[in-house]
Amino acid sequence: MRDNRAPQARRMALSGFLEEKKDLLWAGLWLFGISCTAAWLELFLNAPARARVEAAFANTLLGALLVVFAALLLGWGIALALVTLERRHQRTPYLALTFALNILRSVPQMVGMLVGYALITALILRDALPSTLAQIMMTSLITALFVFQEVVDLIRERVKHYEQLEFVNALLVCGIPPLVIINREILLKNSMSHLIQKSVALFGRAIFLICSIDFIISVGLSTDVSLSNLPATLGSMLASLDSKQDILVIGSVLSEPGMFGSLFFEHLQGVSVAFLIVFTLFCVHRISTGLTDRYRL
Amino acid sequence: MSSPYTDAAPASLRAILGEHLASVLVVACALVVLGVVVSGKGDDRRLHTDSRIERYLSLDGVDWSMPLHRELFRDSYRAINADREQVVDSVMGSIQDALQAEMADPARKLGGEKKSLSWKVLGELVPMYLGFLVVFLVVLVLTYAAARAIAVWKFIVWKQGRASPFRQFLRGCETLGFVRGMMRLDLLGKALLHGVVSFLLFSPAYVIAYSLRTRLDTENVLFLVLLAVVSNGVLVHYAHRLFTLLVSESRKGYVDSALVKGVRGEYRWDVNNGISPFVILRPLLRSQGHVFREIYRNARLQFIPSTKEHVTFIVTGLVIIEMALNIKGHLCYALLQHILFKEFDIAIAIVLLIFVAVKLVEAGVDVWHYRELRKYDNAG
Repeated sequence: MRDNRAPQARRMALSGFLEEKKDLLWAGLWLFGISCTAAWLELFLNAPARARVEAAFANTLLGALLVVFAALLLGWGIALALVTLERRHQRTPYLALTFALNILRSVPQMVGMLVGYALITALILRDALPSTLAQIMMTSLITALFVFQEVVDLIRERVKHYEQLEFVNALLVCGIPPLVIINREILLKNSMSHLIQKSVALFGRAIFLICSIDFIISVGLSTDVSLSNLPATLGSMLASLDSKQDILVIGSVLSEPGMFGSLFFEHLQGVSVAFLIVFTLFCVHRISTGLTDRYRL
Repeated sequence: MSSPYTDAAPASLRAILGEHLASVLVVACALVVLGVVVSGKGDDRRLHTDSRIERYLSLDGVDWSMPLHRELFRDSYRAINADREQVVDSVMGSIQDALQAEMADPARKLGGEKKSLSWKVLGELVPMYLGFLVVFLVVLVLTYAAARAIAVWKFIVWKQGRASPFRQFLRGCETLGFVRGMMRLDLLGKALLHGVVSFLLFSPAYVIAYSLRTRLDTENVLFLVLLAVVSNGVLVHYAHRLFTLLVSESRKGYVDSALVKGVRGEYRWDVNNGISPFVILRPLLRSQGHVFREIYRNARLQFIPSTKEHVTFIVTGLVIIEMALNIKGHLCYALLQHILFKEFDIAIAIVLLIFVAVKLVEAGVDVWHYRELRKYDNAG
């Protein structure tokens, strides 16, 4: 005899699973949304524009991933340096490093990145950064300089938390070097969920900053720095004349609702670029908060 | 969750303010050096690139716009230097390019002269800076109030165990069956509205502004303030920070102890011993005798220093809005213009002014946090 409650129980189980693992749910929704957008663009956007949107999306994601990677490396290294200096009671270098970090923290990201991008432009004009990958890496490094402090804070907080527990002293008594305890026991074994959550949050922050700086540069500084000498990202795509006109049409829909349908066919380039930025930022935030909930961070 | 400024809290107020002052001095010195280096390089470049042709362009009595004078120069050059025709053509081409570049130079246009940092320019920056400070402070206060209200509302809804409209809709489909569940269109409508608002809050300012440009005057200061508060994800991240702190505080042991001792702990709006809905606007005043008051007070103490993290993000948002929308007469737009015209000394001065503004607000937050800490006996 078949159990009629089985499908409902399965649905409830799935619902419970998704309730607990919201990060996975949102990651899945993001992939689904991106796939649907890609399929829609394949059907209704002309091939050259589609290729530009795809390249811009790929460059943005690659840039953001590199920002996360660079921020983790920088943050990890500087946090370890601070912990070591604190442990060895080397007050002057410790205070100097903390002071420098606090200064960097007080620089608004966009202002710092503008200065950094001026430097990148100078390098590009001198052919010092010939490949697209080198340019993306350099821009990511500049962006990472203004977000890596969050990694430093996280690592220091985790180390401080575990240093108050007995097991760190026990490991020290067993002769395990302090750096091994920090790297292996505290960070890799007991803080991975924190680091993953921080990486996801930084990924979202990086996408926002990269898109914004590229938009500003493409709109305001287009004489020296332009789409032709910086890799295209979603921000610079949105700043292009076609996309801006597409976005302007959204406002017209408020007074002429009949134009709503045209957004998804005639004004697809700008609307899809704006959607990709906002949808990605939204989903990344949800994944990050989902991780916080799941691991009670 | 970490807070970068937790180290600074127990230090004396004088030490904290001293550090802020030292930061401003160090950054000012670094920017002055950068300004001198950048200005010097700019002048050198002009002298070196034009030196070969400069000599010919400055010849007395030669009008380069007249074909006769150009031909005379060509013949004279050929006769004196005995160069091949291609070399003479190259020199003439270079002279032509230099003349064209000079004519296209914005500095030659009326009012387009290249500016450098002077008392007059500083005088022009002062009203823009004051305007920037006012907008910055208004945005900061509004963001704080709005984020607090959202976080408190979200926390109370979480304590009430209410699911989001979309989740309620899904549960309806699960329990009542797909067809009857789909009849709950009110829930679906609420979920859709929730989604649109979330999208709006996460949208970068330039997306919203360009969308509304045909309908609204986007160069209005009120629009600038509104956009700075609701866009760029500022409000969501700020509110989420306080919400996380409230959740983490509510899980601590003292909350259970207070409940056991009979302190009110009911979070429903519509019951006698519940919590007032006005707690969203005035969390401390409207939660007398409720355990939420203690949870909020402790969370707020940790939340205050995190305001400094958001200060730089709010400034980033303002920079994005003013630059992306080309809002004339504002400080960040002026910064963009001075970078565009390679007036780096003025751009550096504006960067320093923005840094000073950030540091002033950070110092203010530190004083506020210090005073809050002093209210507790164990604060030293």
